[in-house]
Amino acid sequence: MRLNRTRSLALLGATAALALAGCGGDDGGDTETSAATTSTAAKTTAAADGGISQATIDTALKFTGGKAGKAGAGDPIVVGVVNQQGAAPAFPEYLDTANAATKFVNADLGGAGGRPLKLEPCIVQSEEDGQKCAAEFLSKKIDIAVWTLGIAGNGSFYKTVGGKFPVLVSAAATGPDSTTPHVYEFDGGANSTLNAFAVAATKIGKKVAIVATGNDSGKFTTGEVLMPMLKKLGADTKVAYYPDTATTPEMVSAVQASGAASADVVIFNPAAASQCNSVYDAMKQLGVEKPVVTSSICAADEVADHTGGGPEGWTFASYASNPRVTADADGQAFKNALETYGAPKAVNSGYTLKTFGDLLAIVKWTNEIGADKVSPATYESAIKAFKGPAFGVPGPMSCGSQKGFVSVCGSAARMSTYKGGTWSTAGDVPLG
Amino acid sequence: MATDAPTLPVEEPTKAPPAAPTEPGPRAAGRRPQVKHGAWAVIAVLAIVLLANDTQAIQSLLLGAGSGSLIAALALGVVVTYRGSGVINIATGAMAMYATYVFNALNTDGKLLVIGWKVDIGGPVGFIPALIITVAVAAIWGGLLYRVIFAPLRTASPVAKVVASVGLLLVIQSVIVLAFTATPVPIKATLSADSVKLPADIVVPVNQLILCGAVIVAATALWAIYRFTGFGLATRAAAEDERHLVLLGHSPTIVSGGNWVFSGIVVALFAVLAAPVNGTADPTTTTLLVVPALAAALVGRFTSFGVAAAAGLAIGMLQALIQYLGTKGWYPQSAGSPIPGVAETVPLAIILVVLAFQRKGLPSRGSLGNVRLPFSPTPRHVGPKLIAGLVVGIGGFLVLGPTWRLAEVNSVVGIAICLSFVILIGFVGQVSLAQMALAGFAGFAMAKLSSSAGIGFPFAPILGALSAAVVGVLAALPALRLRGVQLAVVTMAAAVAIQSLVFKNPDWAGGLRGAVVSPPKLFGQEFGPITPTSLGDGQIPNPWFGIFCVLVVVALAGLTSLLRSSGLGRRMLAVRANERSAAAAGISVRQTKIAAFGISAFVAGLAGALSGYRFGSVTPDYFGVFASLSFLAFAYMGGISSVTGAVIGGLLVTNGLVFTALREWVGLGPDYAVLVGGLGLVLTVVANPDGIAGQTRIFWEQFKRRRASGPPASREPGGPVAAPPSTTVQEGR
Repeated sequence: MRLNRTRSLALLGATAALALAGCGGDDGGDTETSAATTSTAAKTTAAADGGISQATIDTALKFTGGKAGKAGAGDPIVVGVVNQQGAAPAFPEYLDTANAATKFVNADLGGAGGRPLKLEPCIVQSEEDGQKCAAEFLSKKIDIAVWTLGIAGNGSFYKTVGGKFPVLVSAAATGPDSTTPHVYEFDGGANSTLNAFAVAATKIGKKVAIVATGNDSGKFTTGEVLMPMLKKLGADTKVAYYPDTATTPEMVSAVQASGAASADVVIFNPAAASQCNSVYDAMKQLGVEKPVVTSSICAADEVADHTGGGPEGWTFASYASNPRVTADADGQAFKNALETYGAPKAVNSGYTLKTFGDLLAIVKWTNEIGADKVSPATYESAIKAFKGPAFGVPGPMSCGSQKGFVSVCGSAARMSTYKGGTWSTAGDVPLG
Repeated sequence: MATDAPTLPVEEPTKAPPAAPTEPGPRAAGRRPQVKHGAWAVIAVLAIVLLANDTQAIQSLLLGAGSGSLIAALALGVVVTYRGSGVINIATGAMAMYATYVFNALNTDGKLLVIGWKVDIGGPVGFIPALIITVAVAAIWGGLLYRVIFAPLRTASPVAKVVASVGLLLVIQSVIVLAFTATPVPIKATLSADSVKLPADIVVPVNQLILCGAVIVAATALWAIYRFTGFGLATRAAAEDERHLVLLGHSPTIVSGGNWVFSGIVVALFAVLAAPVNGTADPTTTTLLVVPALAAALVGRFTSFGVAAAAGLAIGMLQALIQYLGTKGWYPQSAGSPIPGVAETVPLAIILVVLAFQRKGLPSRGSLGNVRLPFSPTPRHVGPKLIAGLVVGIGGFLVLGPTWRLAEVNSVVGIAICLSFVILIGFVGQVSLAQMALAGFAGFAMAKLSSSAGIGFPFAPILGALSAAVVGVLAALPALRLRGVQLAVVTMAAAVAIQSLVFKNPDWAGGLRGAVVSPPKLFGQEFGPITPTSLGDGQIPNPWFGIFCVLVVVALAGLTSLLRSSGLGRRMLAVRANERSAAAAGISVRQTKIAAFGISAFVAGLAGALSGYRFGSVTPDYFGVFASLSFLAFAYMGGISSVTGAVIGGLLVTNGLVFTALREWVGLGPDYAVLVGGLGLVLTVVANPDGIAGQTRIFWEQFKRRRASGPPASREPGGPVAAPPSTTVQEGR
């Protein structure tokens, strides 16, 4: 924990650039073998009637440990959910995902500890809202909460909660998401994804052009985390930052400034899926035909639509599975559940799979603790004892093992590619 | 047009002598030297780049013309609106954004967007028909907006017009968010995606060249229209002085409305052309482009289409060049990356350079009738009111539940911010949009003093506020040459620069986590918002923190009342009414303005410090320029020129007591809060320029008169309860 301040802040920043505005999905990569995700994938496709498939239920039960069927009677297990929506920026797809997951749990996974799972949603749009949500949850004696994705009110929420109940973060987007005690991020965090960027890019070539979001987190992640990693791997780098509000014309300038035309590979660190389209167009307009390594934000539906299926030859690094990869059992179960329970548009949108997985994890801990015994303390104990696997997330879990990131529990990124019109898994890249 | 001219009795210039224009009209104000300086500046930059023999830099400059084109187009829209009606329309970017959604709904979804409703028209419409319909819709909206909102504000103060356009911006943005969500919408490419290769392997996309060319053509066409047509001549006459226009037999209302229609067309045309080049539309990006567009328009003195367009292009090009230079090893670094905010500072830098070369100030506009400023009453019964405020404020924290206590904290801090606006805008008439930046400056300074120098409560917040006061005094320097809405534009650009250069600099402001603020502590006892306490229900927020906030804000309210009653306060009002008259009366306009900026910045700084304690940290986004606009809006709704107005403004702020009541009692969701706020703001400005406080005071006076058996009080100027004309300093009321 005795990191120097700049380094520490750089690490904080890593989180945000990769999830900020979070749209997009997952993976990218190349070599190593994906965890046991492929074997059941073929069976995990949607049921013939369009409803939930048995394979989806089986896959989910591996992570919840309950019994299939409807939830029983009794007082519901209430989970607080904080989501940013309403005014811009807004991420309503995360709350849609949480609602779909709740329906799935109650209809097919036997509920949480046999009781119905119920969400207590709270919407944030500003710093004041973070305090308001925390006060409401404390007042309502919430035992555990999920912070889905938000860039406003994170710090004030955690500070006001003050560790009185544990909070799971689905898509970390600000420093406090990854560095606050009693806040837990069940994925490899920004460090893992940035490491995957560097590993994947340097396998292609040593001359690396970087186009990165110029917001606070983007600059930190790129300057303080990614660049040293690339340097360590012997890369020759040139980085250009673009404003968060950049559209294609600004992105053309950024791609040109990064020296992409003469590089072996381009690393693109986006903050929103629309920027992926802009970079794609910018490279076409400038005649730059280089492989691109980016985050799963660029696997979003709007990018696939814009590029005619996907950006050809791009590699994606992510916190979690890519639902587009048909060989990924977790991703396919997630897709089937969301399509069945009314959130199909949320499937390929940012890190919504993480929200789904976080709720499954809460169901698992509730099943283990017993519905009558749940409390902030018992949840916290279960979280600390949890070693994985987490739904759709690579690697074992060990919260606080990454120096400076007390909230981060994982240590790997999951990769996927889009080549020849096909989305494929490309293995997991552990943090070196 | 001449046949529509009003008869003189309706708009009789002789009956209502206008405030004397304080500067010569636009044509007399020396446009040529400015064009010359602007041209020299562009030539100098190009020369430096060429001398550096860096073809990549040249390519960066050329590529920047694409993004500069939209800035330039919005600047043209701003100039059209201002020339025609004297309104600096901060909602210009939002109107462009709305046009983009109208076009995309037609072209992609086959829907016609009617306000926020999507009406099915039986299938997608082709590019050209969709463009024509969109432009027609924008023209109708332009006319309607002028008729409904801005025509009634023709004789309102400049700040009223700015605030109305802020309300319009909020309404448009929230309508789009409600109709389409805030998620970016992809736009189909329509212009060529090819590129042209220039010498030295410089590649430039064709669509950007088309956009750039279209802006140049538009600027030229606008110049020709305003130079050679009757409509243009009428507009130019109105821009000089509306009295001249009436004497020529034209109606200022029709000419102004026509310009709003025209502005809507220009903005929509370019929004539709630029959208496919941008590749996407969202409620925020184009809306925010109004900041550099206003800067470009200011460089063009809100009159010159050519200079405004050139400045817009130059801003885009310089920002692209800075982006490229950021890849160089010699570029200053912070935390491993190029120092942030340099590109965002370009608009401010261009404005300051132009101002430095200008010998004369910017032109102001002569108008029919008196420019009516909000009435600033002399505070009465200050002591009892402060005691009542203390009792109610403290009592609230002792009896209310957690949700309401949080709302009260938000309102109390909001009151402090509104007070800073009251001092600067309400008392001395200086429209600054940098108040939240100043508040943030104090917050960050407080956090830095605490973390680096170990200085804690109460010295850190006081020193932080004093540092904000110093910055506020520096901000007053442009105000010595500028006034009204032009100052608003400069301070808006300054707020963006402060946020980008200072708040986002990790070496200074704590980076991602923001700057951490430790809870206040006095005599060894912490009383932060989440400090455990046995007082009240034991839940957060800690009532002691709320009481502390109440004590600070009541003290500020008392001091503001004293200021209003003091000699300095009277001098401020004199400056607000007419700077030349004030100077003739022996008042130092310079000292008065500097004092007002310093005092209001100090008050804003204390609000920033309270805010830091409230959240336990200071983060850049909370103190952005649009936060200033939002608080200005609430201050105006409450009543911009009185302490009571600030109190009401504080009650109205987002997540304050009124919003919480609407949420808890009426079920108004957060999705609709911005829409309601924006509509409320527009209605207040149009129907009740004195704000809620002023109107309440009028009702109260009428009520007292009725009880005294007299007839209902009149609102005629000079009447006991009427707002005074702007050019008269009202005292003892």
